[in-house]
Amino acid sequence: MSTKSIFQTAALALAFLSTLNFQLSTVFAQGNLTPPGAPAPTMKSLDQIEPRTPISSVPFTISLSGSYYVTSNLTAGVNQSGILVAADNVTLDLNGFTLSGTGGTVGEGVSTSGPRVNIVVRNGTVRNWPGSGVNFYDSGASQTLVQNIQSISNVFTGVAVKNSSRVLDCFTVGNGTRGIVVDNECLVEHCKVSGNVYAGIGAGANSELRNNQITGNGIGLNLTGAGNIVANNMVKANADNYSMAQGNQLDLLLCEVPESIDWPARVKLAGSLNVTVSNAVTITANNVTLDLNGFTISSTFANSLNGGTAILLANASGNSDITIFNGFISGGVTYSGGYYTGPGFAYGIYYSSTPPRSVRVTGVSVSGCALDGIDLYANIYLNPGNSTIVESCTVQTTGGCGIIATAVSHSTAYLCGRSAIVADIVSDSYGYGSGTGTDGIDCSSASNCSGYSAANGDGVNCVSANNCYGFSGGAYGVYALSANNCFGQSSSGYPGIGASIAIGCFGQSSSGAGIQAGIANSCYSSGGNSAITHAYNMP
Amino acid sequence: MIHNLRFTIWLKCAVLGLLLSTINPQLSTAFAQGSLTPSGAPAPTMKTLAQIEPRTPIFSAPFTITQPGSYYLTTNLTTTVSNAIVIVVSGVSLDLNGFTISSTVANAANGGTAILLGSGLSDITIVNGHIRGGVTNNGSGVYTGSGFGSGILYDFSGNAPVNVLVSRISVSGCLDYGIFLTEGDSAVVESCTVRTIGSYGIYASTIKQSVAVDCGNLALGGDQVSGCWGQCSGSGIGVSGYTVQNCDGWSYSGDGISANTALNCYGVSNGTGSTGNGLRAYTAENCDGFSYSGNGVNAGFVAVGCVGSTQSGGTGLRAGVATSCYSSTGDGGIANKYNMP
Repeated sequence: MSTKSIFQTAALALAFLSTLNFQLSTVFAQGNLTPPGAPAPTMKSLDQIEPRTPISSVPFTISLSGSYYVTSNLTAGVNQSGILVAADNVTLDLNGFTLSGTGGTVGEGVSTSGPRVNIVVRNGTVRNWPGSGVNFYDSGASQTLVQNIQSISNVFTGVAVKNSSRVLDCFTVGNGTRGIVVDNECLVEHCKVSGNVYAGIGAGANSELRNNQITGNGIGLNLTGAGNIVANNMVKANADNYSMAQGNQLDLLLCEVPESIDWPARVKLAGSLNVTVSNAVTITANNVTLDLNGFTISSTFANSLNGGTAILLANASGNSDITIFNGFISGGVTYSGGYYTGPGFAYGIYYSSTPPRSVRVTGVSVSGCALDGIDLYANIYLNPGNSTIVESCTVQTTGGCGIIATAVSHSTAYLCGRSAIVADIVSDSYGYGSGTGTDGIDCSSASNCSGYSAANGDGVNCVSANNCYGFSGGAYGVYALSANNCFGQSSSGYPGIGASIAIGCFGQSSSGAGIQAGIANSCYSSGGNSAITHAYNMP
Repeated sequence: MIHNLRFTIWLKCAVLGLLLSTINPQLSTAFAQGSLTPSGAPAPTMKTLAQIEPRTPIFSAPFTITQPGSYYLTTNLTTTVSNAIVIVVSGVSLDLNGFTISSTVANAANGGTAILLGSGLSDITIVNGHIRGGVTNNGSGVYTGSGFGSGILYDFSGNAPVNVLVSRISVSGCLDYGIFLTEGDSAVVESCTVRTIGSYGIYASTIKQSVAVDCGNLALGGDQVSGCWGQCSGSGIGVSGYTVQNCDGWSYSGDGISANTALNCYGVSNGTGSTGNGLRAYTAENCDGFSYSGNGVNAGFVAVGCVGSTQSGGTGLRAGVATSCYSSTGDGGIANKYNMP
């Protein structure tokens, strides 16, 4: 190939490639020399760089709408205020600086004059004012926003806003009345409020308070009106955590005990809680759902007989519409030598006066109580009962009864000083009573149950027993008006089964009759049929 | 020539290199500090709120559910008008989330229903919360007050719902019905409590582990009822079903329990002067019944291992065939008796 043909080939190749990728051509050029346009200013004016109005001294009155910022820490004189907003549509940036009062009897950190609208203050500290740190309340301003403000040690309120306003990401501490007070239709969120003398956060009506931390105040949450929504606030270690009017929508985190639930609410444990005084959670309201959230309520009260109740239903007229679920109640009572002693609670779940109605307890474990584990009242046999359900619960080591309710299912009550399970209806459950005269299961109708009485109670004592097993150390294993497909054992002189009618049953006794019955059909009695008045279809 | 040959080789290498660089720009980085080329387009690393809680919140009432999906309450709801939540579409799960639905309608006769199901719905689940009205019983079986007419009910002008589950709901203080679904199909009510209802307490295909107390009419009615307690304050039935097992039923002057088949049940009708049956069934096994002056146990066909008794007059146990039974008034009400005295 000649040199010319080589160059031709290379030129053709480059030309071809340049059509594929236009950037290749710039590899060999110096760039475009044509000016892009006419010369233009390249600098900015000071107004362009900082268009806002500086505030460099107090007292200062904002009389025109606009955006303002503070240029340094500023301190007012005695009985002077800081910044007064006397116009609508104002944004004030404290710019990270502090506005301080010096004392006297009057003077607000940042305040409004008249019913201003659309006022914003953010990003700084207000402290030591004779009045309030931020006061948009008294003048009737609305649609205000207070954000990222620390309001500290003011004689009156930390932050006060009127209707349709927001207080966000603020820190108010050590103020003379309230940390934050809002009126109606306001939002308070992500604020930390502590050590305020009268209350942490106060609200009128129809406001929303979410995700705040409220500790160490006089009253934690102080709602004077109705229609507020309260959710996920940490309210703890206040002299009184809650003072709230009725008619609010409450989704409360239970951060400490003792606590009283006096309003319809959904309440969820924030963690395991211990009480050192009598009663942990007292519910006086109706329509309360208490989610133990997988956590434990415990007590270290020295004498459990005076230790009150872990969850007490204390409505004088009888609580109604109560749900308790998913967690543990733990006392320190143990059983030894026939006695139940130790610290903790007297009762796990109990009522104080009138029996409760429409109560459901699910998935709760109770242990170590001096008296009853779960006692919701039962009025068995001929009397109309109540409307309480206990399901999937476990109770262990209680000096009194294990479970008392209208209907009990899929539950166990073990080592109880009195009858382990007392109910109208019991199914798929196990009860173990240890004391004198203590039945394992005492009910109207029992099905698929096991009852055990270590002393002289009956293993299962009911009107109708079906598919049950009962054992007693000193009385009947199964004692029923009618017993079907049951197995009763007694290690005493009592029969294994005592029934008006027994069908398909097996009774066994150490020194008594296996079965004692008016009619026994297709049964087997370990000691013969002498205690059976009428025996059919059996040896 | 040699020069030209070297130039030719260099040129070919340069052309080849340029060509390759247009084909695979990463080749040149094989020997550098590592690839600076992003492995791909930036992708989100956070979860959206919809991914964290895909269900639809309900903030206020009245509220109508018009799209299939999963819904939950974020707060207690109070309605000032008839009906709080209306479901008009199939395929809905509604979690009351432990909250309460209530009504301030002054007269419950105008209060509608807390959760109303439209006609002919299917695949509906309602769980975990309370429904509360203001109706009370004056002690004589007269129910009046504020709030809801019913707790959970379907549109009577249309068809009953199917594939319905209502679980862990309490209903109280309603003028008409507590939880009224359908029999004979696929409606399940479990672990519910109903109290102070002017008419029916719970009505569904299958009812289990539930309680209905202080109902003006039928307290519990279903195809299969088990582990339940029903109490009627008037002349209605305490517990009614084709198959009733391990239940207690109480009625002031009606039947305590009424069933085709009753197993291990206890029925009472002991209002003063009541002539209702304590327990009435075609076949009753291991059941007990008590009546003030009616039939303690009234087994139309067969009673096995049953005990019937009365307080004043009446018949302890009435049966076509009684096997191993006992009647407090003697055997006069038994047509054929076996294995009993």
